[in-house]
Amino acid sequence: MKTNFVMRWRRSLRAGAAVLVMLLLSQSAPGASDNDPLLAGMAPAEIMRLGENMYRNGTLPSGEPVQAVVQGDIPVAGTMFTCANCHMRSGVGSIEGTIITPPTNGAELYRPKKPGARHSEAQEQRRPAPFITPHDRPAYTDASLGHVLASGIDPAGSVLDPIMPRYLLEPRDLAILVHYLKNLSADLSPGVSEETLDFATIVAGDVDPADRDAMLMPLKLFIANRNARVPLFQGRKRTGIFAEEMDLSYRKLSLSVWELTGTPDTWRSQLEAYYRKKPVFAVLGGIAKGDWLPIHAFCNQNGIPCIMPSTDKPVLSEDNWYVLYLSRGPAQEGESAARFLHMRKDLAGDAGRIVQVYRDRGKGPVIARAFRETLLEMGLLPPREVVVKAGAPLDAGLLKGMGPGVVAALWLDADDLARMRFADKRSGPATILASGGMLGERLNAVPDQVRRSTYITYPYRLPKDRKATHQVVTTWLKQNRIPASNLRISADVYAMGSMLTDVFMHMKRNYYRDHFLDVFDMQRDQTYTVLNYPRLSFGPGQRYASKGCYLVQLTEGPAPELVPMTDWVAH
Amino acid sequence: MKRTPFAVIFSLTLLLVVGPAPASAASSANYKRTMERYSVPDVTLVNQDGKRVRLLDLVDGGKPVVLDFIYGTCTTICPVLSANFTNFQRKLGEGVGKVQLVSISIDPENDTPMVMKKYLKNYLARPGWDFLTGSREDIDRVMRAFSAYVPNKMSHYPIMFLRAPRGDQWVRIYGLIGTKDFLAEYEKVARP
Ligand code: HEC
Repeated sequence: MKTNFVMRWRRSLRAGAAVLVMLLLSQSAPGASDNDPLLAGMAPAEIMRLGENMYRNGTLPSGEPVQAVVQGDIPVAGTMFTCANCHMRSGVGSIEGTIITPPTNGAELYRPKKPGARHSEAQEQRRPAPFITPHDRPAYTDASLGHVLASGIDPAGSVLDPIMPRYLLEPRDLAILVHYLKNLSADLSPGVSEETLDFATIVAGDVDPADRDAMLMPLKLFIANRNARVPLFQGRKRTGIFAEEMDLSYRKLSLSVWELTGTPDTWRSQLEAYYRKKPVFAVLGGIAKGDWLPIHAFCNQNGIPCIMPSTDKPVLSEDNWYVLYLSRGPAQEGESAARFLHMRKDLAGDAGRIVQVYRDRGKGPVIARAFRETLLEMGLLPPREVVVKAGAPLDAGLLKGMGPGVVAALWLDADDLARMRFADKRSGPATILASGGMLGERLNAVPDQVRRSTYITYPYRLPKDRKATHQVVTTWLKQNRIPASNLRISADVYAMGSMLTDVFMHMKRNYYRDHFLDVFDMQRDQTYTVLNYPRLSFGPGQRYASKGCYLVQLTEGPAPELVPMTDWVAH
Repeated sequence: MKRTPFAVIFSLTLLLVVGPAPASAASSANYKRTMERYSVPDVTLVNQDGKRVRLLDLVDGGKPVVLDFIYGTCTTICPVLSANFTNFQRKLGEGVGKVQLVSISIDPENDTPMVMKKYLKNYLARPGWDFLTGSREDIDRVMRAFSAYVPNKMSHYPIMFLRAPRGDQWVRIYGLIGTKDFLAEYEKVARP
């Protein structure tokens, strides 16, 4: 895979600076309608919108799906897959195993392509059957680009591999698509200059200073460490050692801290003001007291990537493209608990009833809602709800009142749980569910006498699997004199830093925001560098990296062990 | 001036649809075919309806079987593999129920029954095409059994397997093929 990456970049680099200058001179300004008579009278923004709808959603301006033929004889519709599935949203292309899908963005198409060094004999021998041999071609023009999409024949006369579908488009639709490609990732994104890449991080609301430091200090350290290596990379560039791999790392990173004050409804305008003052390429990390929603909306509406904020309140939405969350937050616990009950029908108890208890603020309502919705989805009965006002006293005899044989889901924190009176299994609930996310470090708030019938959602890596990574992260913090004021938060920043190092390397010169996310999406799963989760996984459009949650039981005593009763991911 | 090339292109596209197969049609040389013996592990996976399915029951159900490894957000490889399944089912027409198609997720974390159901719907899948997810451990066992193990989904490669009912040999197809080759391979398996 490495060789493939390198080869592609070698090729695109050979295109050289001279060509780039020519390109800049010859290319019409993005957004112009190119005087194509077929597009006469259409506003450039409208052409882009229609083109984007073809490229990303496979939908023609008429609303019908795009039609094409793949592999020579397989008819396909835009409802199955689209250009973006193969060339990615940014158009910079994709690499999966042995298959390289080349760039189809304006900057690359409208300049000549030279494959550069051919494979060595040995590489040729090992080359698997479906590997596509790159070939030279001159720069595309509007006409030759339209031609290749329909016929598969490029301006050099080469026939493209049949994996690239041949598209059946009316002349006007084809002209729209060509216009779109020409402007797709044609200019570098805001926040990118010759020397630097500008980022921001966000501290919103009345965040606990310890948590703020736990996020900010490791992030600043990552950036400082990286910038300290810039001279080294530049040196290598001059001497030619790993010149191509290092070529892009020379850009310095800058980090602005956007402090948002006041109530969350005022955050949006503060964000806009910061952005106007200094546009950034992306937001890294960040922490908020309260909902991430205002920041989520700002990032999605302005197309600004926001990478792995530290939040318990991610926005769960299918349309989210720009915010890459670490997890689905508390909802993941409710969903997993419901699936667990569905799998373990034996736990349902004689009464056949489920009751859930939670306070009307904090994580409780989020878990409760996800639990209820998932139960319904799985065809189970909805739970009875007992909602306690925040701050109001909790009826310690609550469980007695439910009667025996029920399933009691107690989405409560450790203080509340510790105050409760638990009957034994004969007169009390058949099964108790609790939230590891809410109990935090105090899982032992679950009394010994009910531990055998209690199952706790645990959306984290198990303590017994944390040791090695724990050692690495705490050592790193200690060496850099960063107090472990909140290890969970700092460890997430550490994991993000190690991913960013890879992502920057693979991005090369393509500083487009969509490509930044595309590269994150093409990452391999992360395990070793991640302290809090057994696995973070990625994929185009996957926006919640940690996707699992154990259900665990506790052994007896004040320092119980966690015994997993499910896999990390259980369907 | 500008209109001419587009007119030419449009007739070219028409040619592609109604005319003889153009030079670009998939040629058999594009894939590698071998015969293999595999022993399918006894694992229970979860299908697009959230139902538990014993893999052995599915592949030993007395029908010819076609099996591949895909995932919902995969680029380039899976779209082509799956479009192939779609068109194959369409060519089978009435006989679609006579063949069992099995797609096994190599991204079990993200491929929930809901994701898989939507995927099959997008590909106009008909009954007889099942998409299976499960625990990573079980999925790894299946990949290993078919000599198709990848530690990471991004190292995925295009591969597909066919087997006669109750046969003990699998045809392993490495590479991406078109419907003509697919049907030819299927005929060899179904009517040896
Ligand atoms: C199934 C995956 C797939 C889809 C879908 C797909 N492409 Fe491609 N495309 C490829 C591959 C693979 C190649 C490289 C073919 C080769 O080099 O022989 C390619 C090549 C191209 C090229 C030629 C690039 C060059 O440098 O000469 C263009 C332009 C292109 N695609 C545009 C598009 C557009 C626009 C769409 C949607 C309307 C699209 N592709 C859909 C896989 C795909």
